[in-house]
Amino acid sequence: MGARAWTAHPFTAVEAVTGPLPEGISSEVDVRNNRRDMTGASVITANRLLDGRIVWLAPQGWSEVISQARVFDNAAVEDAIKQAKVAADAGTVVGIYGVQLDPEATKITPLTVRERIRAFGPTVHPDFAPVETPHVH
Amino acid sequence: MSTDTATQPVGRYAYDEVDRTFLSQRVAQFREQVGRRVAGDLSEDEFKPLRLMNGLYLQLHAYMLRVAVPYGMMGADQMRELAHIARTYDRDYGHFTTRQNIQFNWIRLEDTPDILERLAGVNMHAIQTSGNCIRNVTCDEFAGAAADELLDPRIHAEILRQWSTLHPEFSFLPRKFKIAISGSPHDRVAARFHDIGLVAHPGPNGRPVFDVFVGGGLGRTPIIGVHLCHDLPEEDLLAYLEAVVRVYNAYGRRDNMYKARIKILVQALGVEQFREKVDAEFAQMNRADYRLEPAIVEGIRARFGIPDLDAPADAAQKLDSDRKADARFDRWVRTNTHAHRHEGFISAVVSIKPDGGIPGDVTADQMDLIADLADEFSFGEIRVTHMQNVVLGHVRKDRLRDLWLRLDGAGLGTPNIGLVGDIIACPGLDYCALANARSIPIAQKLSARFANPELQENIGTLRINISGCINACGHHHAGHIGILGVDKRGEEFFQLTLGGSAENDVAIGQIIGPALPEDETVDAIARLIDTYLVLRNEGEAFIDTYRRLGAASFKDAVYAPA
Repeated sequence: MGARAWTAHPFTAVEAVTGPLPEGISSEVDVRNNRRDMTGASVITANRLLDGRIVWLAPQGWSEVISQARVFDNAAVEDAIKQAKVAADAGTVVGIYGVQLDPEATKITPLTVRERIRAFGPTVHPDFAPVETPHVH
Repeated sequence: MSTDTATQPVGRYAYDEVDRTFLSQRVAQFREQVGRRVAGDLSEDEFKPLRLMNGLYLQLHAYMLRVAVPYGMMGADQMRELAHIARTYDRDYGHFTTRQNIQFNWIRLEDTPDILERLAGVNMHAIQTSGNCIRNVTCDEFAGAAADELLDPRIHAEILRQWSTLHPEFSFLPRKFKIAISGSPHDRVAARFHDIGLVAHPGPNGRPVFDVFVGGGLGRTPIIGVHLCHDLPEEDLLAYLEAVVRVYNAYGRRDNMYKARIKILVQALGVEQFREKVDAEFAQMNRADYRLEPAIVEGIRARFGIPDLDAPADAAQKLDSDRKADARFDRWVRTNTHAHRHEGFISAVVSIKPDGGIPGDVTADQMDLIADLADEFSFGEIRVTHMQNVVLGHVRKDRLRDLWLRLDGAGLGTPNIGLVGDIIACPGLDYCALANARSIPIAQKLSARFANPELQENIGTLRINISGCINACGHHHAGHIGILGVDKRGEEFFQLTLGGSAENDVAIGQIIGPALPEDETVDAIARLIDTYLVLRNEGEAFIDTYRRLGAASFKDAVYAPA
């Protein structure tokens, strides 16, 4: 992962036990992507309906950059996800779930490789990384 | 039905008005469905199967559109349209897949109807690239060109495409269903790793007959397909395949997606009982409805353009002298060409695996160049391989060096086909929502490490296949060295398998030991290859050394302390 020195972190509460589910089999979010510790903090993510781009729930809507995401205590994130799903009935985003953050990181950084790639773009194309802008949808 | 093969597109089926009308209606239907989704009249759960039936997935960063390249064949005009789509609607790239398709990773839902309309304008679509249906039929990349071919499988691949497209019985199978067809005794289609693998050869009456393999596959449960039927007559091809898929549709498991592929059914029933059920279904079918008469086959064949293979008498001599005069060209000819049935021609493989590059990725400019070169050197015909490369099938030998110079100048002349650098890699965790680990960076590091062409030739034939998850899109089980990405508590690890093959010596690679951390994987493979170089007998390929000595000889090298 280049210069990012992220460390592995043991999950203590919820462990993924299944493999990836091919699209079309289930509409539920893959449990691997929605696992978190009892403690710690998370952010909420989704894909935007119209263009599929990754977005993060910010204080005033959905942002394309994780740095603007609202951080929730893990104890509160389930309710926040439920509220976000209700609000998303208008059809602006799809696939809402929570993302555990790395407690040792100095900026908002997901704990898992998968979510770091979602947050910061494909590692093989740094030029495709999300651009930091103040824009919030 | 026209029979003017001189004016048909070379190597692929010429659409008629019925085909074009169907595609146009299909695009209009999807445009309306997208409109309903955006308006909120369709929920995501309702819309998802509709978009998947049109090849539109929601991946890690955006929508991904997978465009069908039926049996891997396309024309220069189609490649130029793909380049336009890459340039206009994506981020200037396309990615060739292991099912001979192409996919775009940064597509917007709102643009998709327009993209499909543009594709339909060049007789392309995204049907059968997703969902639990019969998927795009794959084929030998040297079909109709190879010196070792017994008959051209593309005609029957097209017949299977027409039979399977929107087949009302088979639109909701227990799981996806993949068919491959070859007309060569040398398996270049992984026939025994498909739900159905067909190997065609001429029968006693001059008409084709087919060896039918069933129940092969990779994924979570890798299984080598079993031989179900010997010398199936051409006239019964559709009836017999329909019987096979009916048995699968009736008895295949729908309660557990991990046990839903036909390979699980064949193993559960045993091949004899499975064959009995197929034979019983086949016996009660009205075979007249399905009979593939020679006139029907020849009607399909007539819609394929035939290349005018006219070469100067000294074409081969010219190639020989060109090779003697240029060592780099000579090396590329050794590694990147395949013998043609016509002595004045040769098939050229364009490596889409530059040293340190992303396997299968092409830029829009490269797509345009490939289209231009296809027009100039190979009758406008292009083939996508399941190894994620491109073939120009009919190149005059006396013009091969001109082609190579143009490829080399554009970074498409890497001489690595079949060697260490010719790595199959799925998109992995950099793009795929299913992946557990990144495939591409491992491929890039390996190909950069072994970039030296002399070293690659010295190592010899070596197939390295990388999958980012157990779904095995990178065919890791079939690699001489297979690499499987696994997730351990949110971090990437890589499990190595050795001894796999998808060719005539078909075998499933065996796990050599515990998975390795990402930053130790490439070094471990390098030690593995070094060990082979020490242990091999003269002229022995990696796979043969492995089979002679077994895994133990390599295990110590893999797990040597850093």
